Amino acid sequence: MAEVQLTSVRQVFRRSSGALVEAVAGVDLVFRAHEFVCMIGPSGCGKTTLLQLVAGLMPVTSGQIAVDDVAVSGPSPERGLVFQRDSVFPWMRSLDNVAYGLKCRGVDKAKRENIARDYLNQVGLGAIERSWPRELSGGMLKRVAVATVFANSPRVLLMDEPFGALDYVTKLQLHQTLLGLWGHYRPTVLFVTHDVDEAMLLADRIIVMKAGRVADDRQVTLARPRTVESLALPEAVAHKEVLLRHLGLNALVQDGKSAQ
Amino acid sequence: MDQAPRAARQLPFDPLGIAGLVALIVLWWALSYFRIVPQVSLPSPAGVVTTIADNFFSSSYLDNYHLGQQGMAGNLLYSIVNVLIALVIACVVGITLGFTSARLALFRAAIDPVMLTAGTIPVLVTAPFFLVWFGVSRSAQIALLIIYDITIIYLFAQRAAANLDPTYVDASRTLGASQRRIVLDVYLMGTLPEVFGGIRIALAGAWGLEAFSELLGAPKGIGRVIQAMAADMDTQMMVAAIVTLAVVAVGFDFAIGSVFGFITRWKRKARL
Repeated sequence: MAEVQLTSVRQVFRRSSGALVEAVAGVDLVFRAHEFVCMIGPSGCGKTTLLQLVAGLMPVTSGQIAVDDVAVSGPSPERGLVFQRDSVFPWMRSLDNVAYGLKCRGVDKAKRENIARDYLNQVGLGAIERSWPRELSGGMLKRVAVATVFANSPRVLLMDEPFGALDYVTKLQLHQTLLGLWGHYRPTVLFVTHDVDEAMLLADRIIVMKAGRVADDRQVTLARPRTVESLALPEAVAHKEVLLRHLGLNALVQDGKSAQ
Repeated sequence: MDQAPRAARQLPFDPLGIAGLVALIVLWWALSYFRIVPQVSLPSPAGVVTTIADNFFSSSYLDNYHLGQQGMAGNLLYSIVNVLIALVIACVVGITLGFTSARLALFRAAIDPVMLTAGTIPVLVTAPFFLVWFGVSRSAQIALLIIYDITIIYLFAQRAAANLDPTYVDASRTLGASQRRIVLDVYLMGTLPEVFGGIRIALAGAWGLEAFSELLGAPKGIGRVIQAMAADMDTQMMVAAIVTLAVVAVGFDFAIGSVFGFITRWKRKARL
């Protein structure tokens, strides 16, 4: 799978007032092939901007992003993106949504529908392939979005707080679904989240961003498969303390221990 | 497993609308039957229906006015063809211009004033110019309708494209969609409910405008029938022509609404 290299990446926006905002301030990172990386940080720290830059949805102000030494110059189906907002097309049935990327690549109808059906089954939605998105719940829509991206077999999977708006139970179910799909061929994953527990359940590595810069870069060596009990292990507690402090939640951390 | 919401069900027709129509006919009948309004000003519903039946497919009476031998049907067909030709051309041009202006600020800056001007100048003012430019040919009526239709469809297409959630466009780009696919699969499909709404509004206004434009010298058409009958104070035939035009307009609106409703059945509570 793909290795993603970010070299001195900088992104500057101009506000309507004319003021310049440095959303990403010179980031150097390498995401190794097969790695599941979670990016965490307070709102406005530049993590979503960084994700969109890797997706190629906007050009970098300066610096370079490359996948396996090939510079990113625009969007590509090799870098699939699951959006924070609903991105499932309401005018296509579930099966057609999942098959859309394959259709764009010219895969014939029967083959792409078989592939899409297989992914819908894998995310537990085999029975709703003919349903319109308006007939699905928020959790089901996220499953369709995840199936859509995986059906395209991206080498790099980018996820922008995909489960942020979901309830606790649905979120845990979707973590298992995501890890199950990821385990098949282990694409490189860059997953943006606000949720410290979510990051520790999913990630091999957690990157903390603050004010457009990398503030911390931590390896998570907890054994997989992880469960909610894994979050009580000493390594997880130690990570959580540090991450909460990074997020400015010092009051929740007492004497080096999680105070939850 | 999380639960999906139930799909909303809709009646294929509006019972209150039908009740309103029935009430109007009853009122018309009462005004006529009890001579509240003189027969010469307001013919009875039964008389109008008889006139339509007697003159629909062939009419020597209308032929005397040089309005063809095919009766009201021939004149209706002339008007219908004009309206539909104009609507098709306006859809292609209006949607293309609307989408382009939604995406390109420079293009929007250039075309918006033209469209707004065309949309706000009263048709009564512009109609004589079309007569000068195109003469008493069919082209004059169609051109007038095209201008009217385009200004409406352009605005609806532009607003729909501008309001389309950019996430859909970004999603299609990351899935590998070409520019052509983005336009057809995302912009066109995602804006259909609003664009269809614009088309229906344009069509509803186009019937009256077509009838009016025929007064400027069309060889035939339902507007010409109304004009000829008004000149001779034949109110029964005049109302018959107006009723047939109204039935055609409502029929087309219902048919197009049904087709549009089916195409956009993915949208919850789509009321076009």
